[in-house]
Amino acid sequence: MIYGPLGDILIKLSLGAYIYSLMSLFLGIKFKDFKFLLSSRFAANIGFVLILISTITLVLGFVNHDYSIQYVADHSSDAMPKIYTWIAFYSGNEGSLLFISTSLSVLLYIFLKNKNLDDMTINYSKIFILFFLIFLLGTTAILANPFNESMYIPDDGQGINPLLLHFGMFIHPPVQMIGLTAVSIPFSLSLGSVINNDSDNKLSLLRKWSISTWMILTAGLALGSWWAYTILGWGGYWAWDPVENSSLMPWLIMTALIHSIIVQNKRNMFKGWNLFLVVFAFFMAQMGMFINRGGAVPSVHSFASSSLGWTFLIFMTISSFLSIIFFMFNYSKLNSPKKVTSVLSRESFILIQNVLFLSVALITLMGTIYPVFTQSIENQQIYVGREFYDKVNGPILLILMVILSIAPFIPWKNTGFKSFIKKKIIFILISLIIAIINSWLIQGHYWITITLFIFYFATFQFLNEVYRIISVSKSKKFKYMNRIKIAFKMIFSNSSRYGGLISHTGILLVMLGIAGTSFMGLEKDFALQPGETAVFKNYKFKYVESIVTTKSDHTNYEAMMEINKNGKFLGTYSTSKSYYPRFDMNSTKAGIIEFGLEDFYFSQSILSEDNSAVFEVKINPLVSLIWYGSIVVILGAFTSILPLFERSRKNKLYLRNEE
Amino acid sequence: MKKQLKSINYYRSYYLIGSLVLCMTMLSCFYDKQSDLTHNEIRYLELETKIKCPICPAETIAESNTKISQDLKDFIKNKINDGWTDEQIKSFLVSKYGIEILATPDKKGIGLFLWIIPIIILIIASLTYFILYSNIRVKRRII
Amino acid sequence: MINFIGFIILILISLIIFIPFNDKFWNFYNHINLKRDINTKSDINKTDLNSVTNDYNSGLIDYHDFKLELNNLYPNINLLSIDKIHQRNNYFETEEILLHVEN
Repeated sequence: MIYGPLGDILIKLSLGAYIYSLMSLFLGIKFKDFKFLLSSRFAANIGFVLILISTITLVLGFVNHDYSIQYVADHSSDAMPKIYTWIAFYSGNEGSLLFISTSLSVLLYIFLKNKNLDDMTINYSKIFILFFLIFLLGTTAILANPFNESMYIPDDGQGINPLLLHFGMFIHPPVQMIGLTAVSIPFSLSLGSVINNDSDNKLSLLRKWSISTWMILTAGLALGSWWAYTILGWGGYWAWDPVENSSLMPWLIMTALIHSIIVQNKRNMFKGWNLFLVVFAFFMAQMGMFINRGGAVPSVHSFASSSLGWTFLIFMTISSFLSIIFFMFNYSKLNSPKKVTSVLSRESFILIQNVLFLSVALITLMGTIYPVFTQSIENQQIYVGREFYDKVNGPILLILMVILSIAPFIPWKNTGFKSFIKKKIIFILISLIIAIINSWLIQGHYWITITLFIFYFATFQFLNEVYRIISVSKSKKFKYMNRIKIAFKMIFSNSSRYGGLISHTGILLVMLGIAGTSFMGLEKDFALQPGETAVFKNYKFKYVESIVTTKSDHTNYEAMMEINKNGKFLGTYSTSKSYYPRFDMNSTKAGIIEFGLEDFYFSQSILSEDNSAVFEVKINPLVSLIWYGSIVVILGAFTSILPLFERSRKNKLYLRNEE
Repeated sequence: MKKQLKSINYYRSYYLIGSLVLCMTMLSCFYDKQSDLTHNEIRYLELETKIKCPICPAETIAESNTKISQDLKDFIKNKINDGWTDEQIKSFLVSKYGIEILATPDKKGIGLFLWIIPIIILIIASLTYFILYSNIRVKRRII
Repeated sequence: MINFIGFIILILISLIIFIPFNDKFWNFYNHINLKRDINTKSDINKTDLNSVTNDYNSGLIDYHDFKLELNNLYPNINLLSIDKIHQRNNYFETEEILLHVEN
């Protein structure tokens, strides 16, 4: 079939177009010639179109079961559901590299859209993005080409890893990969603006790109944890697995970055610190790619593992080395005239938050690569599991939550301790009382009470501010109209602040969910015969029967369970487990029933011949707050970058050539 | 808001906060974590997450579904019922399978440095805070 | 067949890439490209005023402190007119304040 060779040609042509674009960009910058600059931009757009078509070719190859392509034969089969063939192309190493390159070229296209040719900052940034893109695309085209033809054409493909046959496959991997590549855009932009001495003017653009990147990373993490929660064997919603860590670390640093950008925006400080953070975030994103590809650390996520780790390692080393040199040479440009004047000021709290987030990221990094050290130095294989991270990162994250409830509500520059206490005491009191009552009502653990207190403390201050906005106008005439008008004006003129506050509320909801599951969750194993009933807390459940269905590539065992809560019949639910002989692998789908905020979670672990089964039953209170909270976080982040495109007026901007 | 604030005597409200915190600690004493489970079951659940499945890439026996982790789970259950302590069970498993059976290394020997790292990092972090706080400036280089 | 397609694409690419080197093209290009000017400039001189105004609007500092801060930033600001705005509204905009700075 045609797909293999066509895709191969397209991907190589696209690589060529991008290399030309980079060279032409260099010439354009050197000679300040718009011909070269425009030619470079055209070439980049062509590269974008070509690589997009190339990806579509690969997808079509999958959909039409073109087993003459080695990669298709390895990662799909006739038996797999039709809908999964559309997305199976990023399930392996080569295809996901192609996907990463494509997403970066899409981002480059968006980045360059509507930018002036004479904007040198954009041109300098484009150099860095192009370098990264050419590296990725070159690796894809030369070292791990997904279009390689197979020696002989098999009748049926190998099939996809059964763990990936899940709805999460449609959204989590692409979002995560886009997020990790998108980190390179704020990186390039801030480097470019430092070269051009233009960081003040490009600050709002940098902020928007950073927050968008952060938003994508957040979505990736939330989707990943939701997926892991619905499939048994991945340790619940978060297992501190190396690959999960590698996606968390850039997120942590980006979180620090989007907060310290605010300081640069409002107070014109922390320029050098921001550059350092963005460089570090890029380093971490590449570290994530390396851990994911290199297989240096054992992980449950090793779907895309390959021998390509070394290329990423080399690129990471070179780029971070060059970044450090760059940082040193430009340090004099990055001094800020202002200082942090008081500990009790917003910039100081943001600084504390920054260093704490950095420490969490570094501790996580160290824990993730510690096994590599012991392996290479003492030749001793060890593992670092959740106990370490929970004990070390948990308290730091709690401190961060406390800071979150205070920092947005204290002024810049400085504030006196007494006036601070005077203003906050009423909120502290009210939120303490309500937290204790609430915790008593749901019979919460004392950590829940503390979390609830932080949550209410932050939320009441937020609500107070909203009240203030509504009651802002003092005029008697047109009272309500005027009030509403001014309130809207105020919210939209300061959308960054209110979006941020909404995000913070979401984060606190996630925090409540995590506290609820880890301190109040119950877990027990039950061995049941068909027809037998068991009682767990206020739940009563009856194992009805087990249904076995055999398909061409797997056998499916489905257990039906009748569930009563507080003596009320709630219905029959099922949990299923499929065995794939080709992979010698089980994929278990847990039965999850949501009652309000509490989840009843059950899954079968062993099934005997007489249909008796062992069920692992968990009661997870407040767990759904994690997913709802994540949605609130993303909505808030989106609000904070509104308006997406700032108001513009039409004028002739493209300079005429030599006139 | 201001009128409300004035009406409160701040020193008395500290007492109120103190009593509320006391309430909170009381509540925490009354709360019994897993009242539906016995002490041994809780111990088993905790141990389960600390032992790694020997043949899986990165799963504990609690998460894994393989035969060997099932056997290990049964072993732990039996030993807990026999009255072994957590430390005894762990050291027995380590002597049998080597240190890689532990999901997280102990604070001794090869794992000691791992537990020291966070302290070092936190010290560096607080130093960074003070350096950035006082904003030590590097003299401008004349190029 | 495939090589032929690839060759055609290659020619197309080189045609598009070399368009900008033709002078006639630029006349046309300047004619159609009335591009939007995206105003990304954040006024760094006003950062202090912005942060103070934001703090006041969010209710983090009271009116007295706000006036003190304004006086520090702009010694020749007309505080009486600021008071007038305050009587009407509890909300300030930076542009509005800058109007009352006397040069």
